[in-house]
Amino acid sequence: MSAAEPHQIGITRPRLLNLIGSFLILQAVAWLVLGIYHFFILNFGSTLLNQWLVAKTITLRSMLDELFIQAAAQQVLSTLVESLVLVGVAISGFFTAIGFFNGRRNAWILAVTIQGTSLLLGLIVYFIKKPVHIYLVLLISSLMVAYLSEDEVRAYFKPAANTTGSIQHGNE
Amino acid sequence: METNDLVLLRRYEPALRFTRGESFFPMSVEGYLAECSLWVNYPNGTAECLAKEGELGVQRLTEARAHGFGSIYYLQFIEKVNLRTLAVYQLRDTFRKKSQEEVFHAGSGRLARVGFIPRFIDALFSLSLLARGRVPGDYALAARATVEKMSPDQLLRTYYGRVVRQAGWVTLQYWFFYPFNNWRSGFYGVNDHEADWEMVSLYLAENAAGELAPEWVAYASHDYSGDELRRRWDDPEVQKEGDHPLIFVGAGSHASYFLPGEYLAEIELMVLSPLVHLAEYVGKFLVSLRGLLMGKPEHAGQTSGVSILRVPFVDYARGDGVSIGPGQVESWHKAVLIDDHTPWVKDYRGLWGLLTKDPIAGEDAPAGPKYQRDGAPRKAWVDPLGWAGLDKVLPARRVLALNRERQLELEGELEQTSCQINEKQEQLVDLGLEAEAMLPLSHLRQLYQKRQLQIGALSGEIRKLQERATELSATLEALDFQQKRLESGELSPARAHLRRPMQPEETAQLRVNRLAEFWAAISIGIVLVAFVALVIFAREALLLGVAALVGLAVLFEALFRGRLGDLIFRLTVLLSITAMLVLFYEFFWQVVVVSVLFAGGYMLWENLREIWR
Repeated sequence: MSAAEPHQIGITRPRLLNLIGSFLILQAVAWLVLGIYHFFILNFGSTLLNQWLVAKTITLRSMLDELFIQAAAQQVLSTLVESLVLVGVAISGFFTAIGFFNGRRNAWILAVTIQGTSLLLGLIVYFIKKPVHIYLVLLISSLMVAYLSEDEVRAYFKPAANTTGSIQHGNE
Repeated sequence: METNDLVLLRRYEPALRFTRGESFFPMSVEGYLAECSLWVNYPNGTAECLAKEGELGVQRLTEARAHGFGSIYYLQFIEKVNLRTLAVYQLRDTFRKKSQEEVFHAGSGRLARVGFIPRFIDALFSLSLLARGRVPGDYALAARATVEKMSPDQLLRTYYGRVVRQAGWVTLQYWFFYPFNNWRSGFYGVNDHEADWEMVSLYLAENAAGELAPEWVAYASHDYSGDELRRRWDDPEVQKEGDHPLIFVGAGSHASYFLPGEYLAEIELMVLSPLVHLAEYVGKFLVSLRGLLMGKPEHAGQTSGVSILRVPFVDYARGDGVSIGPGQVESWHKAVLIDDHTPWVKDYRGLWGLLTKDPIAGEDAPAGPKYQRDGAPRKAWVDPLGWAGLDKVLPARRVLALNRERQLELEGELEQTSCQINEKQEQLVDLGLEAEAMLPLSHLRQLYQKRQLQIGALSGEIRKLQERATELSATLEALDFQQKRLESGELSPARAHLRRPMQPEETAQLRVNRLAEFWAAISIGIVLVAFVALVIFAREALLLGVAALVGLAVLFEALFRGRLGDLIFRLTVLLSITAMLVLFYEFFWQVVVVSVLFAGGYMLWENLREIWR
């Protein structure tokens, strides 16, 4: 059975699986919004928005010029990176949620990875800026990890691991 | 009696199956002694030759000697190593055509089967060989050359049998003597040493027809003893050739196993013992905590199965090589009866091979069947039943009779206890009556208090007797149930006494890919070189560099061993725990307030519900 195939027949679907899948979608939406917010509202995007509002022509050249100026000031680079990561996580989240609903075997590890990334980013942001919204991110991700750790959920998405037998060996 | 004992030993003598590539097989001690010299090592470190090679026999070996406290006697099988002769032998051996049974292939490397830390400890262990006393590297080759030069009489397939009658059991011990243990140099194992003594035991008892029949069998696993060593005769794991148990012998180590396969052996280094025990304690704690959090308190006390601070080795007991015994390619040529009075067993307490002064003692030769290296008697010799945990087990036929005896004893005790309870209850009633009569009379206050104390004490005694009576009833119920089972011929589960039985590695675990093997081989070296490079070229960022190095090593380790998913999960759980600690720190008082409010609300709700019913 490959990692992409659905779970084994006969294993009962844990309760709240759909709810967690929905949470994953909500999380993905939140990351997407955050990514857009970071990029368009915080920095480079606001300049473009202003230009558009005052009917100045936005061309590729003017965008690139703005990009280089902002990058030189080291403002947009970090924002770009943050935004790209957030959007990337959001897209992964959407696919993971779909996989969750369909019971795909690799959905579990993807969900764990998403939560891990979310927690890592959240903790980094916490130690740098301590924005108010970060506590909610940390709480939700921690609760998701707790649920994903349950044996019932793990067994649904992947077979039980074999354990190695080993002996203690004295020596004569 | 001696003839009967030999007949008995022959009747159940084991069959041995070795692994391809094994070079040393059971032989006679006389044949071995003919190639040895006898030495004594004095406490000041000097050694003296007491008998040269060719002068030593059993009689000379067992002569009385008095060289003072701290002197250690030892045999030396390999004398001076002639490098030219060895080189010629090695060349000849390399180019001669070998049979299938002589060629060993390791398969998946042992290092690829374990994680980074055990491999690091293994590297330290290997380095320690430079500092510790050890059998020189060419000794195994010299031993092979010496064995090949021995006469056929010296190499006759021999075992030494001992019969012990004790507590209704007849124990048959089969001792095998090997001239050399080349586990380290031949099979990537723990150690090499001259001489090797191994033993298996069969435990017989009278059956319903009054004949002796085997009930248990125990295979020695180096220094271990107890329940884990034995299997019941009807256990499917005990393979047999008719009435002869089949033993799969570890390559080089000559340890005995019930099933063919490869066994991952983990050696605990004494110097790391405190850390090993700490790691095990922490592992048990985490498993118990996880179990409690998940509502599975039965996980408490279980080990995590992780032994990262032990050195990993593989004992290859494949059984695909030479075989000796009933129904095998070769048969036993000699069965020799030994006992407490056999001269070389009783009178020689020294080592049967080279003394290397290895502080871990892994490279020192063993002592004989009766003694340990320090001269103290072996448990397997003085207490063959206790060694296999059979001192608390009865022969099957006696169980029925003794079960009934015990039932009668306990029934008698229960009756006595019931009578005592009745008597004391009558006394209690009397005391109660007196106390009640004294209540309205104020001048009898002191006497009343005395009666109360007596009532309290008597109530306590009655409670204890009732507890004992309950215990006895429950025990009698169990004995009764056992009696019915035994009378119907039903046996208890054959493996009920085993907690951690030895099992060979499963085939799926042995399939380690080439990349993982390559990584296992080079990882320690690369990490050490990278560390040195950091120290030389980037000392100001040493901590960060080391953290990055450790992170990369962990990542590659997980990637090549197919455990990336596990790594991601564990890191995520760690991050989650950190996040929860951050939240608890930031919102400590809010959490306290909410918890108190919730508890208060819950209590209020429950109490109100009770009133409204």
